[in-house]
Amino acid sequence: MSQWMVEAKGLKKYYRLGEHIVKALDGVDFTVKEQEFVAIVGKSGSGKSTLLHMLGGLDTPTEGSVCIDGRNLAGMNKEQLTVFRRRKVGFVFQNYNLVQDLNVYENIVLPIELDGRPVDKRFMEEMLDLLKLQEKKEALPSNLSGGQQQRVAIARALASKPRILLADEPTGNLDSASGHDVLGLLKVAAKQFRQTVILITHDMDIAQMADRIVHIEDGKIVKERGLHDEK
Amino acid sequence: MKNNNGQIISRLAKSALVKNKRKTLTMFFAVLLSAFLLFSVLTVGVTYFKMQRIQNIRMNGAEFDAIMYGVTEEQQEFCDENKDILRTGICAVSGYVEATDKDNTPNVGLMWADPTFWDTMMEPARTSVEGEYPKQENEIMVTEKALEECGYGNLDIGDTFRMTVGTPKGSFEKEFRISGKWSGYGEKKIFYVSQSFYEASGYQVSDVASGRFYMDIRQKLMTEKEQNALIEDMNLGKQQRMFFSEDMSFSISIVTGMIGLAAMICLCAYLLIYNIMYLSVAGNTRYYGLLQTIGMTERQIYSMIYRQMAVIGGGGAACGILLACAVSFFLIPFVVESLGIRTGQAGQVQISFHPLIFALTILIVGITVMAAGRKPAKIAAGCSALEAIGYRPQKNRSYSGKTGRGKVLWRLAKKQITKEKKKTGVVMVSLASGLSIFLCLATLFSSQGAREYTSNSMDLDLVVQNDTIRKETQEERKAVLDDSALENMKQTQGVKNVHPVFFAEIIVPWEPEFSDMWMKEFYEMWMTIPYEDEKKEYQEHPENFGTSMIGIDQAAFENLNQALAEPVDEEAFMRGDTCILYRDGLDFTSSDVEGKEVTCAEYSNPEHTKTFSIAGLTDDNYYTALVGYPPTIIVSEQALKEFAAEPMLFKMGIYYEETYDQETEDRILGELEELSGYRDLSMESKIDLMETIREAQGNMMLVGTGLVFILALIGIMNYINTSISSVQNRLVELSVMESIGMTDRQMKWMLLLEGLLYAAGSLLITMTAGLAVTYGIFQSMNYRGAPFAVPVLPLVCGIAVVFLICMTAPFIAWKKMMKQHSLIERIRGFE
Repeated sequence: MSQWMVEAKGLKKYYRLGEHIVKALDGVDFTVKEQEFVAIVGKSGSGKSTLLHMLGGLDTPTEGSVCIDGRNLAGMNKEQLTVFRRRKVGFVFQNYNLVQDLNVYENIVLPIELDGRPVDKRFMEEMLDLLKLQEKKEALPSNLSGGQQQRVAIARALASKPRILLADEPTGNLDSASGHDVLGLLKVAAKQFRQTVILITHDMDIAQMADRIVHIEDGKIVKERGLHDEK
Repeated sequence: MKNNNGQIISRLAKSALVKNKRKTLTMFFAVLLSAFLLFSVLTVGVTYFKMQRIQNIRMNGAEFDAIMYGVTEEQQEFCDENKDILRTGICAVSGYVEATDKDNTPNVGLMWADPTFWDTMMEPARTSVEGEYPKQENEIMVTEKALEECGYGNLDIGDTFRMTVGTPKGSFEKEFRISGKWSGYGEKKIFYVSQSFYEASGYQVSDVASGRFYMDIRQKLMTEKEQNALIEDMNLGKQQRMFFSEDMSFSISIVTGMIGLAAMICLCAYLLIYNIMYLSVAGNTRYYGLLQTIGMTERQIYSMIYRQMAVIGGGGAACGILLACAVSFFLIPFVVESLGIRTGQAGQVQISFHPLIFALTILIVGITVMAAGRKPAKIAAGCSALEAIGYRPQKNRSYSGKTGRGKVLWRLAKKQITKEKKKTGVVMVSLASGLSIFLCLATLFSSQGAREYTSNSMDLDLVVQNDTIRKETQEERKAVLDDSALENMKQTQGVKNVHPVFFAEIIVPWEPEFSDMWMKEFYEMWMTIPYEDEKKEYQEHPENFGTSMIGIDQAAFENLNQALAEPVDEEAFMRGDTCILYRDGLDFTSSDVEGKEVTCAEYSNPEHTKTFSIAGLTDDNYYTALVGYPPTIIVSEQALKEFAAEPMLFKMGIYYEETYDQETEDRILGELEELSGYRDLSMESKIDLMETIREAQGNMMLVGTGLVFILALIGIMNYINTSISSVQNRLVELSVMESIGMTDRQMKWMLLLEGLLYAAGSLLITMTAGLAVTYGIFQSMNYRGAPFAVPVLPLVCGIAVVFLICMTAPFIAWKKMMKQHSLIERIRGFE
C-alpha cells in the first residue's frame, strides 16, 4: 500500500487549439500525504485547475497516471470513476455549483442519496452546526449569500465523508472576510473529519493557511514549500 | 440624436443565428412546417369543401342547393324575381317502365328535364352526351344502365324498341326511338323524355309526386335560420317539401369545424415556435447579459431578437409556402384528375389557389412568430449584467423548498417538472396540441373511409331482393326466392347468418278510428285529389287499396327497435300482438298511433282478418315492399306466417363470417345465378358500395393521410426539440450532478422519469381537453352522422411515439453533448 493519499506521475495534458498544441500540464509528478492540506498556487492559465481536475477524475490525462488512496484512476471505466468520485472525492468549485432547485439540505445529502446510502443524521447535524448552516437548511441556494453558498458546497463535499477534498478557488467569488471565514471552516472541518485537502488559489494569504504550497507555472511544478522546509 | 447602430445589431443577430446553428435550423423548420401545414390544410380544406360539393353533385346527379317537391306558378315567379336565387330547373317524374319484351321487372323511371336543368344543372354530373335531348313524344335520352335494365344493352342512338309504360293516364305500349345517350353520375336507371311526352302523361309540375324544382342559390353559406326563412318565403303547401343539399345544410358547421382545426394548428405552431425561442433565449441568458455589460441597450436587444425572428420567420414561411404550393399545384391536380372531374364549372373550382389563403398563411405565421418571440425577447432584455459575469440566473423565486421524500431520482424528476409550472404547462400543452390535432385529423379521415359507409341500418354484407314483389298485381309476383333458396344460402360456405324478410299482400279495411285517420293524412300529403273523393271507394272496395305486411326475424326486430325513438315491447311483438308501421313521410308521431289498433285482411281471402295493436313508427324503408296507400305493417315472421296463407320471401339479408369477403360473395352470386328467376333479383353488396365510394374518393384519403403524416412529423419534431433544448439548458446543472457522483445509469433514469412525466402530462391533456376539442371539431364536420371513434392504430402509435421520444430523446441528447464536451467544459458552460 502506497504511503501517499494522492500520487500523480508524469502527468501530461495537451490540447489542440487550432494549429497549436497547448501544454496545460507537462510532466507533473505530485504526491500528497493523508490528512495533508496542500495549496496549489499559480497564475491564471498555469495549469493548476487542470491538475486538480486530473486528480479528481473530472478529466483524463493525455499521459501519466493518478492514484488516489492506492487506486489508479486510469484503470476505471466512466461508471466506476463516477462512483469512486462520489465516495472518495469531494469537490468545491469557485462557482459553488449547487443544484438550484434543491434546498440546502437536499444539496448536501445528494451525493449520499445518489450512492444509495442512508444519511448519517448525527454527522449531518454536526456538520451543519460546524458550517453554521443549521438555520438555512430549507433555504434555496438563490437566496443565500456567496459565503453561505460556498459553505453549502463544502458541506456537500464533506457529506459522504470522502478521503480527499479538492477545492478549486473556493474563495474566488467571495470578499476577503468571507473568504477567510470559509477557508477557516474548511480547514477545521477537514481536520475534524480527517480529510486530505488540495486547494487551488492565487491568493497567497489563503495559501499560507496550508501545510504545503505548490507553485505551478506553464504546466510544471516549479516550487514546493512546506511549513518547515523549502525545495 | 439618432444612433446609427443598425449595422452592428444586424451583425450580432446574424452571428447569433450562425452560432446556434442547430436551434436556428430547428426554428426555421418549425416555421416552415407550420406555414406548410397551415397553407396545405387551408388549401386542401377548401378543396375538400369543393370536392364534397362535387361529390354531392354527382350523388344528386345535378348541381343545386335546394330542391322542392311540386312547384306552383306563383312559386316559380317568386324565384325568378328573387335575386338571391341564381337559377332554377325542373326535372319531373313522367311515369315508369312497366315491362319490355326482354324484362318484366326493369325498374326504370321516365323523367322530363327542362332546358336549364338538362343543359346547366346536370352538366357537371355528366361525363359524356351523344345525340340530342328528346323533342318528339316517342324519343328518349338513355343511359347504358337503363337500357341494360330493360334488356336492351346493345342498342344505340337511332334504334327503336317497344316498352310498356305507366303514367297517371294508365299503361300503354309504345315504340320509342333513342335520340341520345349520356353517361355520368347520379340516378342512371332513367329515360329522359320530351316535354310533349310529359305534357301528355297527365302529370303536372305542381304535383309533389312529379315536379322536382331545383334551385341554385347565390349565398353558399346559409345558417339554419336563413334556410328556414327561405322555406317560409316559398309559402309551401301541405304536400310540398323543400330540402337543402347536404353541403348547404352543413356548410356553416363544416366551416366552423375548419376554423377550429386551423386555430388548433395555429396554436400548435405558435407553441412550437414559442418553446424553441423561449428555450433558446433562456439558454443564452449569459450571452444577453454580457451584451448588456458591454453597452447594448434593452431596445437594441429587442431589435436584435426581432431581426432574428424576421429572418427565420420570413425564410421559413417563404419556404413553407413554396413547398405547399408545389404540393398543391402537383398533388391536388393529380387528386382532382384521379377523381375524374373534367373541365367545366365543377372542374374549374378544383385547382383552387386562393390568394386569400396565401395572405392568411403569411399573416398567421407572421403573427405567430412575432408573438412567440415577444416573451423571449423580454427575458433576454431583462437579463442582468451580473448574470453575464458568472452568477447563475435565479430560477426560483421562492425563498425555501421543503425537503422532498422518496427515491432521489423520482424526486429530482418531479422537481424538474414542478419548478417552473408555467413553462412545463406550455411544453405539455404544446405536445398535447400536436397529438390532439393528429388524433383529430386521423379520426376525421378514418370516419370518411370507404368501409365506414353502409347502405342499410343492419350493416348487412349482402341484400338479395325479389323485385317482382314490388309488382302491383299478384299474378306478376313470382316466388323467385323460397325456403330452399334460404336454406341453401344458410349452408353456403362463409355465410354467418341470413335474415329473411317475408311479404304478404293485405287489405286494411276502413274503420273510423285508425285507417280513416291514416288515409286522410296520406291523401293530404301525397295525393292531388282530396280523400273525400275516394273515401267511399275505399270503404266499399278496400281491395283496391292493397298494401304490404312484412315479417321480420328477431335480429331484424332488435335492429329496428333500437333505432326507434321509444323501443317497443319485444315479447308482445314476437308473439304477434303488436306491429310497427312504416311512416311513409306522413306527419304522424308515435303518440298519434301508439295503442291504436289496425285490422288487416288477407288479400286473397278478405274474410280472414287479424288485429294488431300499433306499437310504433319507423322511417327505415328497408322494411318496405309494395307501398300502398294504407300503411305497411311490420310484424314478426311468426305472426306473418300464421296469418298469411302464402307468405313470400321478399329479401334475404346476409352476414358473412368475415365482412367484405369477396370469395363468399362470389359463391353466393354463383348459387343465385342457378335460380330460374335470377333476372328478377337485385343485389345490394357492401363490397360494391365500398368500391364505388373508393372510386369516388379517389386519392382524397391519400391527401388526408399525407396531412396526418405532416402533423405527426411536426409533433415529433416538437417533442424531440423540446427534450433536447431542455437538456441543453440544464447542461451545467446535469454536469454538476455528474461531478458529484451521478452515474450515467442514474442520469438515464432521471431523464427517463422526467420524460415519462412530460409524456403522461401531455397525454392527460390530450385525453381530456384535446379529445373534447377533437370531438367538437369532428361533430361540427360530421355531416354524415358517423359515430365518433378515435382510430385505435394511430392512437396507439401516437401514444407509443410520444412516450418513446419523451423518454429517450433527452438521454440521447445528453449523451451527445457529453461526447462533445468534457465534464469540466460543461460545468463551466463552455467558457
